[in-house]
Order: sequence, then C-alpha cells, then structure tokens
Amino acid sequence: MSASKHEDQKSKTTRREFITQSAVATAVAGISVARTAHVAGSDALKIALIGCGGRGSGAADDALHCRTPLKLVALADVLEDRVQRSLKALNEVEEIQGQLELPAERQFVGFDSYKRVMDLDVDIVLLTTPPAFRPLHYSAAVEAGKHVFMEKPCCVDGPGYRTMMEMNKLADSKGLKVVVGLQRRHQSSYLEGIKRVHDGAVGDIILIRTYFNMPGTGPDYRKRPATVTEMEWQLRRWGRYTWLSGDHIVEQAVHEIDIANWIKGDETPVKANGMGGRQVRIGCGNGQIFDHHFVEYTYADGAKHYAQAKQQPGGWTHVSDNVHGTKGVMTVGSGPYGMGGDSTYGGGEKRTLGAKMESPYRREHQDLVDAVVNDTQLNDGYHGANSSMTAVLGRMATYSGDEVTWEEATSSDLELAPGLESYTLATLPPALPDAEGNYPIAVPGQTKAW
Amino acid sequence: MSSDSKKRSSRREFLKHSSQLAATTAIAGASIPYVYPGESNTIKISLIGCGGRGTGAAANALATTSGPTKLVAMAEVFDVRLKTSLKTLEDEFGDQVDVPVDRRFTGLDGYKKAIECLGPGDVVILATPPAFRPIHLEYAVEKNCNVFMEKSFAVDAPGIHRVLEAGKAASKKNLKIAGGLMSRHYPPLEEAVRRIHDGAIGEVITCWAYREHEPVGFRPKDPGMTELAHQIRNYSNFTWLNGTFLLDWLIHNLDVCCWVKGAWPVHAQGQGGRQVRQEPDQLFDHYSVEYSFEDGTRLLAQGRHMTNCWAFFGDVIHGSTGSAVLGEGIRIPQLYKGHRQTADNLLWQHTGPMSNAYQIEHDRFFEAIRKDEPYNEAERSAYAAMTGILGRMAAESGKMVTWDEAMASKLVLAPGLETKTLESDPPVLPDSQGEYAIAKPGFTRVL
Repeated sequence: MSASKHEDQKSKTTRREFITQSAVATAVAGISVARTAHVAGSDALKIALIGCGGRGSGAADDALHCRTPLKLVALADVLEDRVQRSLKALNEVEEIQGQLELPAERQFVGFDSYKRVMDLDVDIVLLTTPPAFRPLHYSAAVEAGKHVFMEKPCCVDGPGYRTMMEMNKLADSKGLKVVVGLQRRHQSSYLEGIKRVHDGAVGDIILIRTYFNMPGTGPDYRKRPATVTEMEWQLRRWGRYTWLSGDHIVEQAVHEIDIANWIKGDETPVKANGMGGRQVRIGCGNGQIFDHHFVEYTYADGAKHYAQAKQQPGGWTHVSDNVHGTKGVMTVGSGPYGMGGDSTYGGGEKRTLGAKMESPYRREHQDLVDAVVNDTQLNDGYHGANSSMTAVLGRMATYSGDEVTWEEATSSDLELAPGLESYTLATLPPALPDAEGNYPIAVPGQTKAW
Repeated sequence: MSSDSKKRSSRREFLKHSSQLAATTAIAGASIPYVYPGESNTIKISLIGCGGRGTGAAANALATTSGPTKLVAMAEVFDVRLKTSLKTLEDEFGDQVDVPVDRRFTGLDGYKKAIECLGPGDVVILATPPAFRPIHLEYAVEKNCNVFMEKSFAVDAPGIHRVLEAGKAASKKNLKIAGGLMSRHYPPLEEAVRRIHDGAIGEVITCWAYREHEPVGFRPKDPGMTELAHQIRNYSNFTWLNGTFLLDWLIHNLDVCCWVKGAWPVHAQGQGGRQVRQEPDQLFDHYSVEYSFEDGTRLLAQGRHMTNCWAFFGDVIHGSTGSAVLGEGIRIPQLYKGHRQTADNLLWQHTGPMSNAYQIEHDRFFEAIRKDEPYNEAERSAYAAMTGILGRMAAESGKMVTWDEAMASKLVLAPGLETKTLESDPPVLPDSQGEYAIAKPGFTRVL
C-alpha cells in the first residue's frame, strides 16, 4: 500500500483511476454510495475526537489544518475535565476557529462516550485514547462505517491484535480509510529512505538497529489520593500501567519497531528474545512498567532487529533507525524528524536531509482526507496492528525472559484487561497496588506474559 | 597452526634468531636477566588462588608433557580451600606436587611468599579474583617469573594499564605471559576463525555474544568472618572484585567476537539492571551492550543470570554472505551460508577429534618457555578485559562511553588494595539493612 506512493506519476494516476473506478463499482452495489457522494460534494467533512488528552487535541488540531475543509463536531473522553481542557486548547488556535462546532450536547463524557460519537453523522473519527481501548473503539468505528485516524499503538495484547486485524478486513470491505499515527509512514524523508533500502542501497539486510531512548523521569513515590478512584488514578497516569499503555516499548518504541518491519517489506519477525527491567524509574507512582527494554527480533530469513527502548534520566538519549546490509549501512532517520546521520562503511550512505519538511503529523491527516475524498485505498491498520503486535511480542520477551514466537504471541489468549467494554470509573482495574501501594511488576522467569 | 612444517620451522628459526638478538640486548642491558629453563629442567610452579579454576590451571600445567614440572608453593586467602586444592592435585599428580606446610601461604600477602619460592624462569599461576591480578602480575614479573594468569585480568582502567605495563616489562625480560582466554587455543575454533578470515562468510557485519544461564550462588557470611573475607568468598557478586559478570563471565565470548572481527570496539552503550535477584550483593542480573567497531559494524552482547529464562551460551556471527555459531559454549563451531543456521545451510563444521582448550593453552605456554619462543598474551588479554570493562561502564552509567574515555579513566574500584589485610574494610560496605550499593544508570560514576 505504501508502495503506491513511490510509483511514478503516470502509474500513480493509472492506479488511482483504477481504484476510483472499482470503488465506484463497489459503491454502486453497496452502501457507501451516499457517503462517497457526500464527501465528493462541497460540504466540509465532519470529524470527531475520541480521547481528549494532549495527543488527541494535537491530532485534532493537525487534522483541522488539512487543505480540505473539515469541521470538528464532537469531543468524547472518559473524564469531563479532559474534554474541557481539549476544548479550551482548540479554542486558542486562531486559524481553526471557523472549523469548531462543539456545542455542549456534542461534548460526551464517560466510558461509553465513544458510542455517542458513533451515532452521529461524522465522516472521520480520531481515536486517541490510551491504547487499551483502541480495539474496542476501532471495532465500533468500523461497525458504524466511519473512516478512522487512530493513534499508535493499536493493541496491547494478542486478543486485541486479532480484533484489529479482523476489523481491518471489515474496514476494507466497507471502503473505509484508515490512518494510524505512525507518522513516519507519511514522512517524505522516511518514504524516500526506505524506498532506497528496498531498491537495494545497502544490499541484503542483516541487521536493523532502532532506538527509542528517552530521558523519562526519575523515581516517583506518589500514591493515589482518597478522592479519586483507582481507575481514574490509573487512567490519568495511563502510560505507567501495562494494561493501558502496553509499556513504553509498545506505546513509544512502536514507531521504530514499525520502521524495522517496514524495512523488511512489512514482514513481522518470527521470534524475539530480550531483557529489561526497572532500575531507575522506580516507586509506586511509576506504576508497573519497565524503564529499559532490549529486544532481539529475528525475521524469517535470519535478519535481526536490535530494538532498544529506554526511559531513564541522565543516560544516552537517542532515537534513530539504522539498517546494515551486505553492501553498507544507512541511517534512515534519527531524531523526531529523521534528519540525522551516522557512521558508514562499505560505501554506505550518510543521509542529511536538510530541506524543510512538511510535518508528518499533518501530512498523515491530509493523506487520510485525500483517500476519503478520492476514495483511494488507504488502510494503515495492517501495519499498525502488526507493528503494535511486534512491540507487544518484544514486551512479552522482556517480561518473561523467554524466547517468544510470533505464533505464540498472536495466538495468546492473555487479555490484559478482560471486560474492558463494561468498565466504569468505579471498576477495579486489572492491576492493583499492594498494601504499600506498589503495583505488580514483571519478574522474568516467573511472569506469564502471553 | 595449519601452515606446513617447512614454513613452521623457518618461522621458528626466525623467532630463535630474534630471541637470541633479544638475549644479546638483554646482556648488554645488564640489569635485565635472560632466563629460560631449557628443555629438560624442571619448571617450578606456584599457584596463587586455589579455587576451582586455579586448581584446574595447576592441573593443566602439571599435565604438560614438554618437560618436568613441579608444584612447589600455594597461596590462598582461605586455608580450607588451599587444603582441598592441594589434596586434589596430590591425588592426581603425586610426586609432582611438593608443597610442604612451610610453602602454603594464606592471607592477602601470601602471593609474595609463594612467588618468592620460585627462581627466575619458573611459572606463577595467577587465579585469584580479578581485582588482584595487576598486583600479582607486577610482582611475578618483578621476580622474573613466567606467568599464566586467569581471566579476567583487571576490573578497571588503571588495572588494565598496569597489566599492559607489566606485559611490556615481561617482554623486555624475555618472560612468557599467558592469559586464560582458552577459546583462543581451541583448535576447532581456530579453524573456524581462520575460515572466516579467509572469507567463508564474507565481511563480518554483526557479532552477537551471549552468556545466559542460572544465577551465581551466594554464601551468607559466617559468624566471625570479616567483611572483606566474606566478599572475597563471594567474589562474583561484588563489582570491585570481578568487575561484574559482563566482564568476568562474558569476556570469552566478547574476545572471540573481537578476534573474529579483528578489532577492538571504539564505543559502547547499553543497559542492565537487577530485576529478579534478591541476594545482598551488588550484582545486576542482566546486561545488554551494543559495541561499535571503527567501521560502523556492531557487537551486541547479552548477559543474563536468571532462572527459567531463555538461555544461550555462544557467539553468532553474521557476515555479508553467511553466518557462524561458535565461541565459548559451542563445542562444535559451525559456518552457514545465509543467515538461518539450519542443517541445510551448513557450510562447514568441526568434525575432527575434540580437544581440551584448557590443556592446550598450557601445553603451548610451557612449550614456548622451553623452546624460548616469544609468547606474551598480556596486551591481547588486557584489551579483551577492557572490552568487558567498557561494557560495564556503559551499562552501569546508561551513557555512551568511548574506548578512549574508558582507557583514560582514573577510577580505581579498590583503592589501596595492595596494603589491605582481611581485617581491612572493603571498598563497599553494607548499609544498615545489610544491602550494598547497586549501580544506578544515569547516576553512577563509571569513568
């Protein structure tokens, strides 16, 4: 699917024409006629935001900067103050003021607020809650016939992955367009760099090295105040709980893990082993997650991916994607916009893309809207789910200390949050603190991780 | 090794000439004695450090067949360990073991007395915990003894420099130094590495080094035992003594990767922690370190001491056309085409008789002494240890550390070790809960 972007203009047009024609044919036969007609008209597309945290508000803002007219018509979040904070933040962005239509009756609060959005006449939903809810919300969106932008990661466990993959197919069959917030897939420097890798610039691939090493924070011994429920406490600090975020190897390093799969032609690894722990970012206030992970992924042809994910203060901070092949090495990207370089050998190429680049965080929304308007095939959900699951596989390896196969991971029945669809703020979350306020933390060799 | 005998003899002749030249120089230098015991003289041996490895090394030395050997002195901190070792060796080697009570030395200064039982050109086996190696090596060289030293060779950069200097001093005195990286003397591995160097798997692009297994033991402190003695008895568990298992246990497979690559790393970054281990000591239970070579290729090292986890012990090498599985833990080295190490991809594997690298390293060492061939592994051994130390520095600090920064480090893990007795305070002490400081990435000073 991403390959189409590399085709020359002529074949691109041909391909687009073909898809348009075939989509029209399908549309005539099926239910999406009305929608296609609607979006092709002069009306602005209607979007709605589900998950009003910082990333969600940012995603809405980015979407509203599309060249195509869009209106944001609803907000939804479990927590009232999040909705209000998002509303306030969006109201402060001058250039999108004409695009906000958010009356009180379309500000939805509660665990089931996403359902209210699905009942509305909106074209695109932005799914930006903590990842635990993604499969549930994505399923609802696809069932309701909405186009989807969803933040990464797409799942935190095996059952969630299977749901995502099933829903991807349903989305395709309904002609729905899906973009996942793995924005490097929509970033010109990566598109160009990975095309070069696919064209053989470094030869056959032997090793991919990726890093998501961030400073993180230090120890945190804060405890839940009696005034909030355990569920609310965890939701507000969702990154620190495995059932909510998947751990930072899933929540954050999925960006780089996705690049590795992309480099390998959207293959997923056959197995992983790794190690990790919680050495610096300790204390009950830091929930359950590790502060360091290292995973050795193996692909079917024996190629390796060394993935490092760290959130520790004071250490080596670094984000990059690098590929070693039989002919050389390339740093496909380093830093948030992939502008850096690295050492080379064997005539390898040092990449320095100095030119100003379109923000990939905006580009991904434009790509989605273009696909909706032109009815071209676009479903990031497959690589989104596969790469999220690859990251989950890595976490299974670091938590268990065991070697885990893709097969074992994807067929796992271990649900991190059983019964999630009926949670309320009063529900006891799946990870609970002990008498001292400490949460269960994985112990390699003992933890059942899949 | 595999060159024909003509080549070998001419090489030997050359070496003989050059050592005669060295001898001449030595005579001219006056203060530097020229010593070697010749083919038939009995080489006396002192064993410093009578644990399992020391006892094994002494047994290997006594089993060499290039000429008569005799164990004459032993030094060990713990009397009971010395007695056990002596009994084992006496049972196996009878008259070759002649260590009367007055040549059995305990305490931290026992090494001096044991070395002083030897004459110039005799052999000292250094097999104490690594922290003491530089001190003992310097003294052995000062006393004109040949040295077999077990790994690891030092635990910090100043220690590495002392080993390097002692190695140079030994060369000037025409003394032989062997370092206990026995994998370098394992013929099947030598053959595999030769094939890789000849291009069997193309250019070496990635090396993976592993040593993963059950945790090391811990013996609680006996009543009346000093803290220093307690830590020495659990030397694998304290950083100042063994430099962590990334160094002391992974050194072989790090060294094999560097041998295969033909280079030492230029920088390293990594991580580690203590996720499962509860014993009152300083050990991390897992490490992963990424080393970079000058040409941008990588060595990825993994060490884990945990129960019930995935475990692999060996090296996996990826070249531009194939891969290899070899190193410590892999008795039968294998080369493969491509990067899947499956039976149908097998290019070569060792098929000849198995051999004992622990014995061969002593056979070669004693032969070099008797034939007076140049034999000095000090530099290579020191750099192998430095590779482990660099990795430990990276993992404990969470920072990127260069080889040059690491080598320039003045941080001594055990200051004043020379003058310590078993009653002295060790460099780390337990807190009021009986727990010891554990490295904290981002905060721990390693340079």
